[in-house]
Amino acid sequence: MTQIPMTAPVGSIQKFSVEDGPGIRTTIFFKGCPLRCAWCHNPEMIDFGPQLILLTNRCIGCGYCIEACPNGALALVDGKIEVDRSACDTCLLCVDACYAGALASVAEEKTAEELMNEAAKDSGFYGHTGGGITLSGGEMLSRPAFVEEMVRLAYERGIGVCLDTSGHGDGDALFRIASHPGVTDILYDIKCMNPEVHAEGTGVDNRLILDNLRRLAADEAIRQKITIRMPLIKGYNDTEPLIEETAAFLIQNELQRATLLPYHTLGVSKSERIGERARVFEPPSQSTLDSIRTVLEQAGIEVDILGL
Amino acid sequence: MLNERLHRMKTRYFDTRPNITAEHLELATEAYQLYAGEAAPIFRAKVMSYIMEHMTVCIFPDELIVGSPTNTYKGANLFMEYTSTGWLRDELDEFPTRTTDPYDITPEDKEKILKLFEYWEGKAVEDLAPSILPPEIEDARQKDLISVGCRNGVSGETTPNYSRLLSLGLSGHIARCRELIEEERAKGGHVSRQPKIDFWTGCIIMAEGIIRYAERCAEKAEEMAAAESDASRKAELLVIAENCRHVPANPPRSFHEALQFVWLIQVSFHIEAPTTACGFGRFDQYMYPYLQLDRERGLLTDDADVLELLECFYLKCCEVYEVRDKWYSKSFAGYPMWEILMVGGVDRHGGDATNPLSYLCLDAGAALQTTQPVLALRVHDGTPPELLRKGAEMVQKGMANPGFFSDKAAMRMVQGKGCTIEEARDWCIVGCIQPAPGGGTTDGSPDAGYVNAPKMLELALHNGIDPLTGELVGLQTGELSEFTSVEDIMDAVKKQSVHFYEMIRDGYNLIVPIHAERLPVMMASMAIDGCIESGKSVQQGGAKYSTAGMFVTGPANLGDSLEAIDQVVFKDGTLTLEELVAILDKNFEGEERIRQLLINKPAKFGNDIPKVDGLVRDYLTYIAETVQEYDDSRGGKYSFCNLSQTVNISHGEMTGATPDGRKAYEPFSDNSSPVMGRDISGPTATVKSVGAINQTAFHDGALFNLRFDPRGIQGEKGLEIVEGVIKTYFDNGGEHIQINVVDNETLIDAQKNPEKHRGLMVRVAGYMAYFTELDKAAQDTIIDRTAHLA
Repeated sequence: MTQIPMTAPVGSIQKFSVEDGPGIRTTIFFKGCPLRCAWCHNPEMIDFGPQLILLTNRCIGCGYCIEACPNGALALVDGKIEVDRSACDTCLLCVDACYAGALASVAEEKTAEELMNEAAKDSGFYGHTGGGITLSGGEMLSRPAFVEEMVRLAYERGIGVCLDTSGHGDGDALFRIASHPGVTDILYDIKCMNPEVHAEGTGVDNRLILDNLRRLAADEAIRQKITIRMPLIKGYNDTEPLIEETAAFLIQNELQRATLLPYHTLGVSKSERIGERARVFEPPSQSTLDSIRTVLEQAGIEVDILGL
Repeated sequence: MLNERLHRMKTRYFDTRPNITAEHLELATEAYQLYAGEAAPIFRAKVMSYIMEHMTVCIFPDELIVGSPTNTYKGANLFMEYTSTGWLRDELDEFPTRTTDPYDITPEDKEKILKLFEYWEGKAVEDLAPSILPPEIEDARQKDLISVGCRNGVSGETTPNYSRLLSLGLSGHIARCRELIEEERAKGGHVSRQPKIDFWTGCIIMAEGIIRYAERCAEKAEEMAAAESDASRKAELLVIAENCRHVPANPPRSFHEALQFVWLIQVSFHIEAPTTACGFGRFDQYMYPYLQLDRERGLLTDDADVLELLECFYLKCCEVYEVRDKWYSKSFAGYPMWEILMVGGVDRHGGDATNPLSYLCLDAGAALQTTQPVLALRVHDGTPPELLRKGAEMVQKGMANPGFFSDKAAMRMVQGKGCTIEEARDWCIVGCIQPAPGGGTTDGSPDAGYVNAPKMLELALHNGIDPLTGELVGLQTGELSEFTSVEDIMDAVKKQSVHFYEMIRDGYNLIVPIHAERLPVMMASMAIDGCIESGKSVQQGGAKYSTAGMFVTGPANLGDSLEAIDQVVFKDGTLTLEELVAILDKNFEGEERIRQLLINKPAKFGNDIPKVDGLVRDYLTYIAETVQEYDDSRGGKYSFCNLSQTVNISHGEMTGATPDGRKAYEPFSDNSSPVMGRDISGPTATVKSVGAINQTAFHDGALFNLRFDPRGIQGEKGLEIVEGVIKTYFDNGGEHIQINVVDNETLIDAQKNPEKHRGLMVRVAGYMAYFTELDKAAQDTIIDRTAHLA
């Protein structure tokens, strides 16, 4: 009996990804995340279930989707389609009727083999630049078996894998994946050192995340792969005591690299597309960023800033 | 980075508008009347010699390299032996105000020119063309279905053998021609011998004319030196005089003299004919020995002094123009002159040829940032990482210069033209990106013509009728009901295309002999190997290798359209072919939804999707293999090149809606690139697709512009990315890539505030143009190209 291959919902396969690990990479975004970060810039990737996305600027107002919708969830308002999310049961029948690409499914189910075939097309670029595949999300750690399969397939093809994770998930699986020789880099988020504040901003406290990180960092080979990523939101996690606590944690665990990710508003319109409203934050001021950098650098940590 | 001299010179360059002048035409008119009756090569040489004896000699402030083809700074000559007075008279008033490539013209010069036109009425090749070309070819040409090269211009794409010119000097060439005349005469009189004797005699007269012009430059410099109060400028003028007394008559004795030599040859090309794409070939190779010579004597040991000379030379390269009519100026927008200057690559034995001058040539380009010369960096496995890095740094800074070329691909292309392995290694560009067997052995005549590929599909879908006019202009390849698969349609498109390529061939083969008989190009013939030895001009087939280029516009639109038909008609059955064609015929009026389907559902070229890339490859390979079997009228062969320049805009303007969702009259894809905005998978996918079109089968290569958002390639990592993209493209069979790094905001601002961005350069198509000098349509095209965000 043939086994049905495992699939995962993939929001996008982003080629020429140059800010998520070394070299030229292909980043695969898995849908579904256990966290609910209020500032999330990929809000459409949070929910584990299927979702309908509406790109209003692509709508040509043809109205064919209205006929396709069995639930009467769609209507034309001033020549553009609007979705009544309370009526929508995400059957996605409207997507096929929308030739303009205004209505689309957030993700498509893909097998590891399919993803690898697509990503392997850029092997030449990886070879010349030290690049590879980055597994991101959503939270890739929410699909450990699929990720392990991806890592195995990539390793067979000589393609390095970078993990981009919140760290909130199965610690054993994470350790197993992280120690695989096919994983070359790990981008590990520290959003906030304070468990209560962390819970307030992300919906989960940070104990599991920090425990998992300590465990990875305790392994010399894995530790070398890790770069800490710190999303920075003004007034939330950019205060000096919190940053000092982070620095202390990094020193304690001999973690030597950090990337600062100041908040940006590119996720806001994405929320609207899935019928949600995002809270709008502010990035830390330049002077705060500079002092965060200084605090970390004084702790001997190599710091990089990837802003807008 | 520029020193004060160069800063002043560059400012002057930007502050001066190109202008059409009358002097050259006045002198040519006098000479034509004086020398009428001479055999063509002698006649043409005497006309040139007369002009060079009587034209105003200009030495502009600060110059260290001198000589100009006209009597004004940034002047442009008119060549009425090539260009019809008809359109020129009509368009003369519009030149200063036309949107693309305007030229100033003084009222006095305009009056003179109009008066001189009386003599030239009906004498141009362009006037003869309609009677030379068979009616069906002339008709197709007038309907813009094809273009026929050399109809109103010159066979002018020349990359001289500068090694030979420099090592013998023109006096050495004169001596060789005298020897050959003696030898030929010794054989006794014969009708087959006189044309050769006339040709060599013409070469001698031409060479003597150039030497005389150089002497006049020396006289002028001495005269100015005598009147110069500034001691250092006086000394410079005396050096200029000394240089011009010595070269190009004799082999240069220094790097400065070698530059002066090369420039005077370039000037003479532009005095003789309305030429473009006179390249400098492997400049770092033939010039380096002269720099070494100086350095051995303790001269020019400071790189800054070498750079100053190079930059003076580069600025001279910006001073030449070819006056084009409205159609050509739109199709080749931005005053392009394609003066390609190459560095790096392998030597004739296969080793790396990079030398210190290779780096300095790039440095000078980086410092000056002008559109000419266009720098070309040859890349092979052994290219020093430092040289590639220097090129990548220039690209990262948004200079769009140099263009990068793959030795591996280019060598295979030129071997297809039938040369030795040594000549293949010594390949150089003749034209824009077309590789030619090395060292100045090849006359790769300019465009024989362009076929409009999406128009071929339009004709195939209307059984040969142009739906825009209702006229039967193509082949009757079948009614829609006869097409049962996309392969059937592809076959019909190929048949239509070949029909028009044959027309170009037949037309071009008729036009070139007219040039051979009436307007042999003497400078080009002396500069290219084979002509002097055979006693024949390049147009008579004197060059060791003769090729003529066949081009194409819109191959990506064609591929996308065929894929769209396959998907929507043959696979999904959403529409019948008849329904689709009816929708195209009304330019999607009321059918926006179907247009969106055509845009969004079928795969598009440029996204690394094998099937649709394969359609483009299949078409181009078939066309290349077909046209490369054609003989040209000089005993050479045609070469195929996947290059549109900006003809994709003019061809788009006469083509209706296409099945890829393109509306009627919109521009086609740029050169080898995907259709604008349809490559949505990032630059790596674009690079893979363009690498997958079987480029090495095209003997004249493929031009590829790639544009990055600056964010994607910033910092040290960005340089590695640029290099990685170039290397991977070349691993995949790419020949040429030029990389623009410009953000749309800058471009939009440049449209609104051109004066703030006049140095902003964009490589449109193998040539570089100042963005603000392009017209609105061309600017919009650049803005519309997908910006590849990281």
